[in-house]
Amino acid sequence: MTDDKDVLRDVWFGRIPTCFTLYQDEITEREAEPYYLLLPRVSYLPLVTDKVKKHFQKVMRQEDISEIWFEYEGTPLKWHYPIGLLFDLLASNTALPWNITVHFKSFPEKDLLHCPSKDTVEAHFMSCMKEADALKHKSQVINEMQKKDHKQLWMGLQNDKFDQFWAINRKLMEYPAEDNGFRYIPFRIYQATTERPFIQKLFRPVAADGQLHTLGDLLKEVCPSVITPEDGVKKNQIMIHGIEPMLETPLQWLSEHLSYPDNFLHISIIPQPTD
Amino acid sequence: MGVGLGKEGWLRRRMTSPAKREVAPPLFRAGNVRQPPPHPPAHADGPQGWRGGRERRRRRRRRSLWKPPAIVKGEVEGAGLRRGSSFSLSLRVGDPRSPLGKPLPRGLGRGGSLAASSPASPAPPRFRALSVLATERGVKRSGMAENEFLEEKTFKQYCEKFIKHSEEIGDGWEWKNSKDCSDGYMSKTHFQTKNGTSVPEQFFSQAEEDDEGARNSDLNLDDFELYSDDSEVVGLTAAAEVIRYEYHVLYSCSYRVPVLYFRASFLDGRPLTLKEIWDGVHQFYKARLLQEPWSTITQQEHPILGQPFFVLHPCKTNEFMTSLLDNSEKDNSNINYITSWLSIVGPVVGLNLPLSYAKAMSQQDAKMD
Repeated sequence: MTDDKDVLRDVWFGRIPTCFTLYQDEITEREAEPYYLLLPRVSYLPLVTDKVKKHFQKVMRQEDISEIWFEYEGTPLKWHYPIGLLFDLLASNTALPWNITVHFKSFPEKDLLHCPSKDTVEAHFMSCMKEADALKHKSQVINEMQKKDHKQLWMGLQNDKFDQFWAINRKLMEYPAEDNGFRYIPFRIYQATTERPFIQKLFRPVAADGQLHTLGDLLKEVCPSVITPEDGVKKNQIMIHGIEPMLETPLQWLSEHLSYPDNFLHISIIPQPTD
Repeated sequence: MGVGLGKEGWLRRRMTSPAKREVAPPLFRAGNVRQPPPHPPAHADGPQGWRGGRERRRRRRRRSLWKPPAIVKGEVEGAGLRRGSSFSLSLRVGDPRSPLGKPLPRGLGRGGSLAASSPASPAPPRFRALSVLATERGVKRSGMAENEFLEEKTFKQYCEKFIKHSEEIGDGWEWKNSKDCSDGYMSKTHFQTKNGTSVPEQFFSQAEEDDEGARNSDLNLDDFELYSDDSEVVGLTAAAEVIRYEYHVLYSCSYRVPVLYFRASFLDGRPLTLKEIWDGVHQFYKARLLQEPWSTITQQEHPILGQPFFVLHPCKTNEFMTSLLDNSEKDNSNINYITSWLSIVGPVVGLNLPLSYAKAMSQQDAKMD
């Protein structure tokens, strides 16, 4: 029987085999070979694609290069979403490797945020962590931390250092002894078919009678249409980190073990594959 | 109680110890405001000298012709805020004087908004010349349950009243419902040239709410002239210099406060970059924003539309709103949270509220008496 803490490692070290191909309309001096890379599920594209950028820039002229952006089957990839979320939401039921197209021109201003440097990613990441703690602990835990602790969280993520990251992050996973869980659970539910990017609401992990709320309870409350009716056919997969947790799983447990490094549970609703 | 060293005891202590807060230095000290003592008592009946000081300050404040706007100095006791903390607000609104005592150059506050109003007219006793405090009977402060947080329902109610007045004066705010969900947001679009002159909407043949951006083919500049506040004819401006600003007020359920999202584009659809937005922020606010990272403008994804917008970060909103609300409660006046909040954060990004918002609310109030 594995320790629950092993789940944290499995989540952290999850990888997605990816093939990066340069967009055919980009101007190159010679043919650009595709670039293969294992992407960490819990990280962000700008943090892990330096080598990809260098590889393609080698075959291009300086004047043809502006801000890099990525796209999958016509959909621009939002760099501020964790990589695992993007994959689960858009490509989880297609064959590996994940084929991503690389662009250096025509940045889609209406769809993507700009990412001028890694500092932008850091600011976004820390902002998510603060929001998660605002929900879990009214920001008390994260505000009590020193600047160096915040920095350690970021460096742990950036450098793929599990122990460095969790040395600090474990404090964000604690809660007062008298409560049975966090104040509210930080979660976002994504569905590629809706216009709205995600659903996020206030939801407590513990009911008034002390019972722990489950994943099923959350979905029933927040987006009931995705739950399969009693005798109906299963229409959707509810996916976190590439797996479908049982709907009976306590939400508090999910939040402690299956959150992304930003402390959010990013849940994807995708159509059930037909085969 | 168990001051044990075990994990549980540690946890309990950790979770109940007050958060340490960084205290921002005050922007400037108005001559008539005394610097509070460093460690004020948390309870209402502290040493007499301190209490007396605060009373004196409050009386002095009421007599002055204009009030220091959203700078709230000194201690805030009890409700909502960390006990014993002191802070000063970084944003000043409606203050016709810069911190150095010189009048603010024009550029902000056009069109009869609060920031352009002269301090000469004395304010009626209940009315604060600062951030537009709309008084509103019947909206109980307790509607903001639980430690001064703004509940979503209350947010919608305040917005409704705000929009009602906006419709009366043609200020352009409207409510937009989200397609898939029960929530929504307030939205306003306006056009402005680079130098800050407003362009009346009737010169654009299509009303906004076109998410693709305004089309410059609809704008025929030969048909109108632009006027500054002094009614000087500014002359025709190239279409490229007209900027379309879009402001959205959303509710953040994580922070339980309203958040201001905005974006700007030229008429040809080209969006303004962060740098261009930043260049448009008045020098005065710029200096302050740089000191206070919590009020930085960042680019983020709009939570309902999914498109890139600029945002003023909301995490400290509750602090400055709490003390504003505390003061208004002490004066026995109720306020429209949205009106007050927007009058504080809006001007930083070129959005001003006409003074009539507050006047109208208090007229409504009088009718209800």
